[in-house]
Amino acid sequence: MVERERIHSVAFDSPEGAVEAAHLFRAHGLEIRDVHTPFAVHGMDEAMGLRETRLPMATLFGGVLGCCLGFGFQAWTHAVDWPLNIGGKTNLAWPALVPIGFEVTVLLAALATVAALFVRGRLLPSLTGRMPTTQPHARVTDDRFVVLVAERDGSFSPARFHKLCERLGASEVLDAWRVS
Amino acid sequence: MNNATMAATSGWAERPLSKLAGALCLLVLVIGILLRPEAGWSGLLIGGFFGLTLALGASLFAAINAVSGARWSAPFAVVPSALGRTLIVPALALAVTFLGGLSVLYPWAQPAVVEGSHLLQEKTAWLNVPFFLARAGIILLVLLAMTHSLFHRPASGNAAALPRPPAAAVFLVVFAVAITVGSWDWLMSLEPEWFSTMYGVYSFAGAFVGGIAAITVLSIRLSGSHASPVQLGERQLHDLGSLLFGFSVFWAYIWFCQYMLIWYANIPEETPYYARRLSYSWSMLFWLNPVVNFVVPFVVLLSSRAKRNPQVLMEVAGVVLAGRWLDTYLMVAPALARYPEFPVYALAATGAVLLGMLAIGQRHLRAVG
Repeated sequence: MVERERIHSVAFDSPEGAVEAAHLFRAHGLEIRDVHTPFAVHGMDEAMGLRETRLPMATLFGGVLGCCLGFGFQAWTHAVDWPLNIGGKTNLAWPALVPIGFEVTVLLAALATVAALFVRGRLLPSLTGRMPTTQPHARVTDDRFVVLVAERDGSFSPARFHKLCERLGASEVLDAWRVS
Repeated sequence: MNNATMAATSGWAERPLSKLAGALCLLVLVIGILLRPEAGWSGLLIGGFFGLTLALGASLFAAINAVSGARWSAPFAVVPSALGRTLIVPALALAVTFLGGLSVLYPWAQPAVVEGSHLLQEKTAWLNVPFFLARAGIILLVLLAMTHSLFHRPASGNAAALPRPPAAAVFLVVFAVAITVGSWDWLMSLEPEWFSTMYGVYSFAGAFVGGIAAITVLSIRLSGSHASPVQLGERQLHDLGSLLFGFSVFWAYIWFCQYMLIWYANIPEETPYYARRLSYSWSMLFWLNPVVNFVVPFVVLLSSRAKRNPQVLMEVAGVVLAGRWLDTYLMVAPALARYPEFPVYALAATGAVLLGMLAIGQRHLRAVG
């Protein structure tokens, strides 16, 4: 039998409200599954208790690889495989290699970042998603900041939870479900 | 105003030693102008333009923050506003340069040179003394009026508030035109037969990096105590570091684009600018320029831990400020001297301008604290 986990979707009107709520939910022993916001909110990573991201390492890896490939391939074509006299310049005239070397660096750095997103966010077709099975709040792409709180164990009290949400100024508290 | 703020904001320009240093700089500069007019006046031009880019870069920073409704920079907003209001000092330095040293510095202002150059005769519609002085006067006065309206607050008002968005939006447009036309006139026309359509954006890139670096250094220095009007959190440091990183990359992009296009095409009317800067020992300074302005900030600030470390960030911003000066020096000095020499007068002029800016900036900071 597939187990289903109960998740509460708590919506806020302001980014500050959501950040403060994420702090307090965790302080009350609740687990935050995810936060959906229309834009990246400063301070949300710490509020959610996320580890420091290792995404820059993926970007750096892609960038270094792109830099080597971009310059290497041009150097090979210009100086080794098919040397041509271009405006009397030497075959390995480095300024000529910079634009394409730069572009390939940026391209592979960006692709590596997106690839890391797909892998770590489990967005590949063969992986089980992290999103709740119900639709996300319709206004998270506009002006709502939604914190998804999971019921962790038997000690969860709906009454206390709803009171806490009210105290934090949540505009809506909905139920969502997730297949675990 | 309490003692801690006093300690944080005063001390520098008001110490007798600073006044003595300022007087000494001025004395050296005057001697230079009298004994060696070319070196003296070009020194004042370098010092004046360098100071101008810092004050304008800081004003641009404040204006962009105001227009975009940014709140992250509010804890140190007094720094760009104080720096923006020091514009009067470099503006005066440039005005004195143009009134006193025009015919010494600019070949198009020397009738004998114009007579021998068909190119310069064709350019006299733009490059003539009355029109040049009128343009310079209008640009400097408009910029002074704009920065005043951006940063002036009635005594009762909240002095730390950001500029009003409409004034800031107008400033963005005025700034773009002023830095473009100003850099054509004041720097590019030192070599009037040469031209580059990237010169304006190159100057803009340098001015903005300089402004960010100056804001970073001053903010970190001033944010020591709890009572200081400047407070920097980890996020402010990280964002300042990102801006410094990003715009030093942008400057390098423009620096390389201008160089590569001229190197590639190799056209006689374009190459003299770089030929001069790659001759003799100028070439060492020329290649040092991208190292201090791009390689150092890029390599050091690549990691976010370095961006959040105030000591590291301040040192990198200091290196970039030195790089900004070197870049300004290389835009001016090779036009007038065949070989590089120790730039006594340029350094003296820069010292005098910076000390003057510091004194005025501190007065505005104190009004806030």
